Amino acid sequence: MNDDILDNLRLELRRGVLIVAVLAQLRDEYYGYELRRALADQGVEIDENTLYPLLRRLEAQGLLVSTWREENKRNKRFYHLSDEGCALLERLLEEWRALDASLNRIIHAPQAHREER
Amino acid sequence: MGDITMDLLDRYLNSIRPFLPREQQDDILDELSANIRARMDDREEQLGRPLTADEQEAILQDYGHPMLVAGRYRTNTGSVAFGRQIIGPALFPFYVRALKFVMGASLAIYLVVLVALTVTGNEMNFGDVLGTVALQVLIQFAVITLVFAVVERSPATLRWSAESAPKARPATPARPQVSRLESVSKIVAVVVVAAWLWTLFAQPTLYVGAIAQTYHLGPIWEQVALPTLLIFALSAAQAVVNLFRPDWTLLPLVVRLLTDLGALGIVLYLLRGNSWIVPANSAPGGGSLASVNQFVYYGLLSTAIGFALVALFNAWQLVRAAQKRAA
Repeated sequence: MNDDILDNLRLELRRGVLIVAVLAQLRDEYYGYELRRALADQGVEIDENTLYPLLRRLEAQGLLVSTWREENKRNKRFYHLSDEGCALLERLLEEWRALDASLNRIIHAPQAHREER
Repeated sequence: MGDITMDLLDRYLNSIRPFLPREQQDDILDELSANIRARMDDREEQLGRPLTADEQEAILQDYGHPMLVAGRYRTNTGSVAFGRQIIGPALFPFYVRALKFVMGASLAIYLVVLVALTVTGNEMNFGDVLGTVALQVLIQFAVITLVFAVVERSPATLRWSAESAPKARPATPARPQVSRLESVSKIVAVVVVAAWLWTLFAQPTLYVGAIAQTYHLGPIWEQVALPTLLIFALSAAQAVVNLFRPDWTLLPLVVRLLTDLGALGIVLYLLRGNSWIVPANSAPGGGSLASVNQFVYYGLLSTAIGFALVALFNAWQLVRAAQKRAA
């Protein structure tokens, strides 16, 4: 299999899912590096140079709220989901579940069809 | 973390600063600094000892070249892909800037040539004109895309080194610097525009089609080719110097004034001639040729006035900047 094609398709597949994962994780409050680790612990690896600018963009869109606070004698910027972000996440999750169900039907349908023939 | 870490981290952040949008520099760097420190703390905890300078530098190198890190924070984070990604989101803002400059400059020059030919009664076929312009745009797009694609695939050229980074983060307020984004874009743009002008003179058929079989450029243009090339070389050299010394903010103003005066000198020299366009061997001259040369004369005259005004304005800006610095 061509690794370039696989890499591109994986990238496409992950791009939208990463934003949903970030929004979902930020129902609790995290700072940048801590969020990256929390996502990695759940099996969602994300590059730091992708995550940190993404957080700022999501905040600019009103989906996240951030506050600077001292923790362990260091100032850190903590993010969490805004009300608007919460509402949007719910709708995205509905969309995700519907897609997941559809995809499962598609994946299993051809097999059943072949067996019938 | 010790002083070494602070020094290395500060140098790294200081290298990122000039590539960031000016109004967000402090905010982005404060946040980035906190996240990088957290990652270093995490690593120290895993190892159960402080990180060595090499280990700290390895973490910073893993973050990526400052220009690429900063590129992710710019708003126009697109990418170019033909099947696979050619230019990633980090280099994309710089790529767009270079494309805009080169295409804008060459289309402006091309427009002047077209207007000159039309005003002097040389009929141009619309299809030919469109085809020629499309070809030029395509060539320039391809050259710039190729240059950036090579940079994108050359990790060695985009590797950050602590030794080459500025030693201290600027004290507040930050001293003005020449944006490295400007310098990189200028280098690419100057090279492409110079190459484009060169082919315009060497292969005019490519640009004006069949008209080139009727008229040729007079020998006086060849006499100014080298000085013109030197002006481009001077601009490119300034951009290269500012890439490594962005704090030399007077340099671009000095070079701009010098290139304005150089360009003015070239145009004044051209005005001493009167046969800027000559008939091709097989074609007769006639009234049409006189009209073309008359148009070129007025074009050169207005260009000279333009350069003189721009030179005066740039001289005034240079004096103001020098006074400000002295104060």
